[in-house]
Amino acid sequence: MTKMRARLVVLASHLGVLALGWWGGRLALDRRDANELQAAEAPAKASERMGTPAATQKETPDGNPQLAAKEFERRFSALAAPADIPAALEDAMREWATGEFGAGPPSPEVTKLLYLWMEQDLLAAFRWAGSGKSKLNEEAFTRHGMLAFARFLESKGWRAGLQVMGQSVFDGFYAKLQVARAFGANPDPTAYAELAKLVDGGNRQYFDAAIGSSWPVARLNELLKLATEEKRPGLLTGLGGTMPSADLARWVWRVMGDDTVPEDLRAALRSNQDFMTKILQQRDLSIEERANFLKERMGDSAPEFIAGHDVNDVLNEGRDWRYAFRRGEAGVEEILAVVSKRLPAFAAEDPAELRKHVYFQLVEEDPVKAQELLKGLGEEDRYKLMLEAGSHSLKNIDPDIFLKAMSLVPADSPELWQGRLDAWLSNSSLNYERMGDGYTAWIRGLPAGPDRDMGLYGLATSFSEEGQDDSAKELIDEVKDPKLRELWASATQGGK
Amino acid sequence: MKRSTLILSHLAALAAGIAFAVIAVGPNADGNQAPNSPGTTQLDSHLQTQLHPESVAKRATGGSRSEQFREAWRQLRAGDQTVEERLKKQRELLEEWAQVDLAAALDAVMAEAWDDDLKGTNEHPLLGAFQKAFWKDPLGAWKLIQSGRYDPGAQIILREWINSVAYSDPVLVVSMLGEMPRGLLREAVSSALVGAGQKPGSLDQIVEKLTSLPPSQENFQWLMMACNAMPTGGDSNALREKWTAMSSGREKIAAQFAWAASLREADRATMEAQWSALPENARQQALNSLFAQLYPDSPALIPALDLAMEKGEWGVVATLGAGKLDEYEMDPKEKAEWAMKLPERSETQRIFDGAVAGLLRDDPEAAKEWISGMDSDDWRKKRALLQFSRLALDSHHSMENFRWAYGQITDPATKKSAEGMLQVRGRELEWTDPDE
Repeated sequence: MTKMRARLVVLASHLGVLALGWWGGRLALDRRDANELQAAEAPAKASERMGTPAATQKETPDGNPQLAAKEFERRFSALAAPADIPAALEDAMREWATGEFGAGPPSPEVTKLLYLWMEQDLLAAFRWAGSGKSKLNEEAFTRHGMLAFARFLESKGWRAGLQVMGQSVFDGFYAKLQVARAFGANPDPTAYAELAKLVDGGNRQYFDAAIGSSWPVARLNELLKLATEEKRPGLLTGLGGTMPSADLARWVWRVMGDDTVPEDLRAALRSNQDFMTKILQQRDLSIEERANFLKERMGDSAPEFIAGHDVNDVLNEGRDWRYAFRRGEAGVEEILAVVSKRLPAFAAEDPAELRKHVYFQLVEEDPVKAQELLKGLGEEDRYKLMLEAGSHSLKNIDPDIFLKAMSLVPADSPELWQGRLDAWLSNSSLNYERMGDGYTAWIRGLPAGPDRDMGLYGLATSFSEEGQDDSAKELIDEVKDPKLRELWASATQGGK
Repeated sequence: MKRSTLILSHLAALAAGIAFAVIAVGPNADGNQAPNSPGTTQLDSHLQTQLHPESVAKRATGGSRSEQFREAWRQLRAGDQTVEERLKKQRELLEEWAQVDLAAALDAVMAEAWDDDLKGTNEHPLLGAFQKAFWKDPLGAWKLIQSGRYDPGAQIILREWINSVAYSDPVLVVSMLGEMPRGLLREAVSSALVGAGQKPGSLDQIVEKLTSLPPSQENFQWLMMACNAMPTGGDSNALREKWTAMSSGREKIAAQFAWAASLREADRATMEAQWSALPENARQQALNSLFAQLYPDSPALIPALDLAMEKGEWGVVATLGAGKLDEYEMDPKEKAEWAMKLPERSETQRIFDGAVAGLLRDDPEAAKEWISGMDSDDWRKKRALLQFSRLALDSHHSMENFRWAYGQITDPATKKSAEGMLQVRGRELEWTDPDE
C-alpha cells in the first residue's frame, strides 16, 4: 500500500483504540454489571470481603480501560493554560517520551496543551508538528494531535477546522479525517458538496467513510439521501464507528433489504467488513438479528458461534470467573447464574444451550468440576458433548488436561469412537506447532489404549499433510487399533 | 522465496517493533534486588494484602524466600478482581520470583492456563513476566528450559526465551540456532534481526555466524533474511570492489547483498554506473541481488526496473509482482505514465497492473479520463479496463463505473472476464439499452 494508506491504517487503528479508551468509556460502563461498578467505586465494601486495605485498590489504572479513561479526563481537565504553551509542551513531551517514542499511552498533559494551543492559534499548532530537530514533535503529534484536534472540533464545530485541511502534516490526512468526523457528528447535508471539494480524488473515499462513521443514527435517512443524490456510496462504508448501536444495525439491515434503494448503496453497506465484525459484540441485538449479518460469511453456524462468543465475552468482562473456578473459589452453578443474568434473553429462550456454552468455556479450566453442568443430560448426550468440547474448546491447553477430559468419557463405546477421534484430530496440528517434538514424546509416553492410538493417528495425519510421510509412517506403525490402521490405509491410498 | 522473506522480515519488524515499543526498561537497568534485601517489595505487599495478619506471622519464620513466593502465589485469590487485575498481580509476583528461583516460578506459570481467553489468542498470558530473568541469565535459563522439566510445554517457554533474548542479545540467539527445535528457527532468526536493529554492530556478527552454519537450504534462507535486514547506505563503490574480489561462497554472497542494500535508494545514474563497473559475468546475479534487497517502499525500484529492461534482463523482471509496483511511492498519475512506456511482453503484464492500480483505485474520475485517452487497440487499455472493472465493484462500489468500463471494452474475451466478475460477486448488469 502507499505510504499514505499505510499511515491511514496506523491512524485508523490509533483512532479506534484511543477513541475506545475514553469516548468509548461510556460503552465500557454500559457493559459492566452494576455490582462490579460498585465494587470499583466503593473500596470499603471490597476490602471487607477481601481483607484488602482500600489503599491498594486500583491506584494506577493500568489494565483497566474504564479507570484509565477516567484518569485521563481528570488530568486533562485539571491542566490550566500556561503562559508559554510551546515551552510547557516541550516539558510535557519529554516526560511522556520515556526513551522510546510513543512508548506509553497518550499523555493527558500533552493532549491538553496541544488543545489549548489549537484554541489559541490552530495553524501554528499544526505547523509545529513538522518542525523540530528530532522526530519527537512528529511522534507526539501523531499520538496526541488527533485527540486534541477532535476535541477542538467538538467544541468549535467542523468549520473551525477548515483552515488546516490543506496542512501537510502527514499529507493533511489527520485534519481531513477529523473534520470529516466532526462534520458527520453534526451534519449539514447542504454543506457536503462544498466541503468535499476541498478533498482531492485520492482521499475522497476515506473522507466519505469518516463522515458516515459519526453520523447520528436518528438522521441516517438524510445520509442515505445525500449518498443517493451525490452518488457517493462511500458515505455508507464507514457506518458504525467503534461499535455499531442496535438502532444503527437495524437501520442497516432494513436498507440492505430495500429494493427501492440503489444497488450501489446497498453493496456499500454490505462491504463494510468492520461493521460486520463488530456487530458480533453488540448484545443489544438478539442472536438472531446478529446472525442475519453474519450468515453470509458463516452460514448456518452463525447463531451457535454468536452464542459461544457472548458467553465468552461475559466471562471476560466482570469478575475473573475462569480463574476463580480453576482455584475453587466459584462453582459452576454460581457462574451459570451470573452468565444467565447477563444474557437474559438467551437464558430465557434456551437455557440448555446456555448451559452447554458455559460448559465449553469452563471445561478447559477443570474438566472434572465442569462436568457438573451436564448433570441434567442423559449419559449419551453428556458424553457426546464432552467429546465435542475436545474438538471445540480444549484447544491450546496443557495436553494433560485434554487427556483428563478424554478420560472422563468411556473409551469402549463404538458410538463415541468417532467423537474421540475428532477431538484428537482437532488438536494435533496446533499442539505440534506449539510444542514440537515435546508433544510427540508426550503421545508416545501415553499408556497403550485408544487415546494413545488416536494421538498417534492425529499427529501422523498432521505430518502427512505437511508432506512428512516418513515421520507419519513411524507413528502409524505404533498404532494398535485395527480400525485406525485401516482408516489410515484407505486415506493414504488415494494419495499414492 | 525473495518476496516471502521480505514480507516476513517486515512483518516481524512490525510485530516486534510494536512489542519492543512497550518495553520501558532495558536489561541493564538497575532493577535487580539482592535476594535478601530489606525494604518493601511487591512480595511483601502481596503477603500483607492476601494473607491474614496472623498467618503472616506464622510463615515469617519458615521457608526460603522462594517458599514465600510460592505461598503468595497460592494465596492469590480471584476475589472481585477483573481478569486484567489478576494477571497483573501474577505477572508482578512472577517477575520477582523468577529472579530468586526461576525453576519454581516456571513450574507455577505452567500450571496456569496456557492460552489467553481474554485476548482470544493461544499465547500464554504470563510468560512475558520472565523477560528480565531471561535477560539476566540467558544460558542458565536455556539449560533449565531444555532440561526436560517442562515437557511437553518446554517449547512454549523457549519461544518466549527467544523473543526476550532477541532483544537483549540477538547474537546469542543466532549462536544457539544449532540447538533449537526446527519449528522455532525462523522465529528465532527474525526476532534476532529485529533485535539487531537496536544494537549497532550485531547484524555483522549475525551475518558472520550465519555464513558459517552448515550449508543447507534452510540455513541459506536465514542468511537471506539477515541480508534483507542490512541497512541502506554506505559506500557502494567500496562494497562492490569488496565482493567482486572475493572467491565464491556465502561470505561473497553476503558481501554482494551488502552492496545491493546500499543501493536501495539509488537513482538511475548511480545504478547505471555501478552496473557498468561490474565485470560482465557478475551483472545478472548483481541485478538479482539488487531486486532481492528492495523493500516495498524503496525508491530504487523503478530505476532498477528501467535498468533491467534496458539491459534485456527479462528473467529478473519477471520475478517482480504487481504488489511492489502498487506500493511504490510515486504520484499515481506519474506512475501510470511510466507504465505506458512498458513494452508488451509477458514479463511486464503484472508490472503494468501494479503501476496503474493506484490511479484506478483511488481516483476513478482521473482514471477514466486517462484510459479514454488511450488508443483502443492498446494492450494497456485492455488491461486497465479489466482492472478498473474489478475496482469499480470492490473499491468504488459503483455500478456506474463498472458499466462505463464494460462499455469501453471491445475485446470479447475481456468482456467475458468482466461479466464473470459480476457473477462471482452475485451482481447483475442491469443493462439499460440506450435506445430505449
